[in-house]
Amino acid sequence: MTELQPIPDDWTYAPAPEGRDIVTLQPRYGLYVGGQWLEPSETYTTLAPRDEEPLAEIAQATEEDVDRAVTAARDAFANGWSSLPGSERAKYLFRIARILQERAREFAVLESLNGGKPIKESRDVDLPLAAAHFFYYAGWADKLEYAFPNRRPKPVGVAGQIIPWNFPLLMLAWKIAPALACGNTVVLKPAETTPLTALLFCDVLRQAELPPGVVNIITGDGRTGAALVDHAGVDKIAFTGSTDVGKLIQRRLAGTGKKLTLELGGKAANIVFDDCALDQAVEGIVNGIYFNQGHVCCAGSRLFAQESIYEPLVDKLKHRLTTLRVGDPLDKNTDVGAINSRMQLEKIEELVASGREEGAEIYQPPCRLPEKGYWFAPTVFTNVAQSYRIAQEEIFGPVLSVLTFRTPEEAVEKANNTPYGLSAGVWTEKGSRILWMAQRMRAGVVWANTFNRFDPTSPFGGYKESGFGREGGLHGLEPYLTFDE
Amino acid sequence: MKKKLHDRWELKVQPDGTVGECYFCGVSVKRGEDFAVMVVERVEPKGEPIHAVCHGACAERAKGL
Repeated sequence: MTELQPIPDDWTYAPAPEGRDIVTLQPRYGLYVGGQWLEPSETYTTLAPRDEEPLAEIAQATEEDVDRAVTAARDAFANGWSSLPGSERAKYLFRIARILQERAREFAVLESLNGGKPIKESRDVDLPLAAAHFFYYAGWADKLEYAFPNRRPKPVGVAGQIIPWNFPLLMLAWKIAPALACGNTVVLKPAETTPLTALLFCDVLRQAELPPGVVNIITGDGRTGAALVDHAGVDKIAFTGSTDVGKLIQRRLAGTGKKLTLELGGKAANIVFDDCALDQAVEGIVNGIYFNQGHVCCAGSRLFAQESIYEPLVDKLKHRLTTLRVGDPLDKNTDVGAINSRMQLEKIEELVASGREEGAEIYQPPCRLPEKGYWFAPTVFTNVAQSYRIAQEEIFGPVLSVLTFRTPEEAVEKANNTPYGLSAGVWTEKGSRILWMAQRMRAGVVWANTFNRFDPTSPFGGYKESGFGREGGLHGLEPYLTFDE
Repeated sequence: MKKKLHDRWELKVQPDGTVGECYFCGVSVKRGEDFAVMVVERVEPKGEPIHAVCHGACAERAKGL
């Protein structure tokens, strides 16, 4: 085995901050309903998690506001959008996709500013994928009858969509693009802490000349979300977020006849066999858990290492962690940005403390965290038992738990031993082993020799408490359609 | 981007005629059987491609046809 090189004393990079001048923030944002901005009766402040800088006043939509938004969406649905030929709907989606590409830098800066994720991730992942989703579903808009032959697909009606704070614009694209392609209208509520890119997206809708009321964006906390879920004028709810809230929504919708898709939490297993390319696996593990500060529902938060490679793998992983740059999300060198909110930081700290108390061994690379803002160093726990909270509960932060296994059967058994089932990763050179594992893993997505790869053509969704329904690909159209069969 | 046009490696045949383990089904591939050689390019993270052999029938099935 090759010797690990000593860590240089100083990993300081020259700062390379992305200019934020490209973004023009309004001091106060209203609600985007029926193509107009409504004045809110109540507001709250949205912050930059990197330094707690107040960015703007955001509307807290009331039940009446939600009612206005749903009424606008119903009117738009009845008065033209649902009967518009698919090829015409596609033109709007293509336009939106192109405008997103043209304004990508502006959106990327705002996403990093409001969400805390590194600019290189919002620039290279979130924005290209968001545009790709609009392009992809634009392609389907006039081909629905071919996608579902002999089933006569029809739009559902008004879709209420509630999205999380970890990929604000990308989740908006995942939700809005298929809904519009299928002829539905939308009321979308972004997460309370990250509303700004969704509000900037309203300007894209204006540029694309989307008819008023087809997309309505309302902001607020859980009360707004609850009002949207409960509104009688909504035909379908699409929710991405925590398992606890997902369960609440499912209870509230029971018996209402509304369609529902839930994309909830995860505790993904990243399984590394001794025949894999170890250096690539280390890169994949790092990408799997530290990408977006671990604020990823499909993050590979449980690493299962085959016993024979446990030590070299953990050594290489720790060494790699020392080279991760934690800091300003707007700096192009940054690998790990800020934690999204104080509440999330406290949750991570609480679970990490439980890991220490239960007996796991913690490793955090030496790194200087900024004094202001919400920060947490990349963390690895070894000596972890299956029963520990850090191995069972979703942390949603840059915290990895390392466990071991001896045989493929044991790896499957341990990987499936969780209430979740969203994603998994397998690292091996043998295709037959990949297929064997993939057949037995109770996970919606199984990546082989890679992790956290997304594509609009590929369906995404979970098993068990990770939710139901699929987003992306042909499968992603179905929740937004009804069929005359 | 420079495109790699060809790749070269050696197939080592064991004394009993085994060429390797089939990438798809895991059963050994013997010399004289209908078999294919394959290169699996890594997507991300990048790295050296995987070189493997597989049964001709497995290769056909892998096409998904």
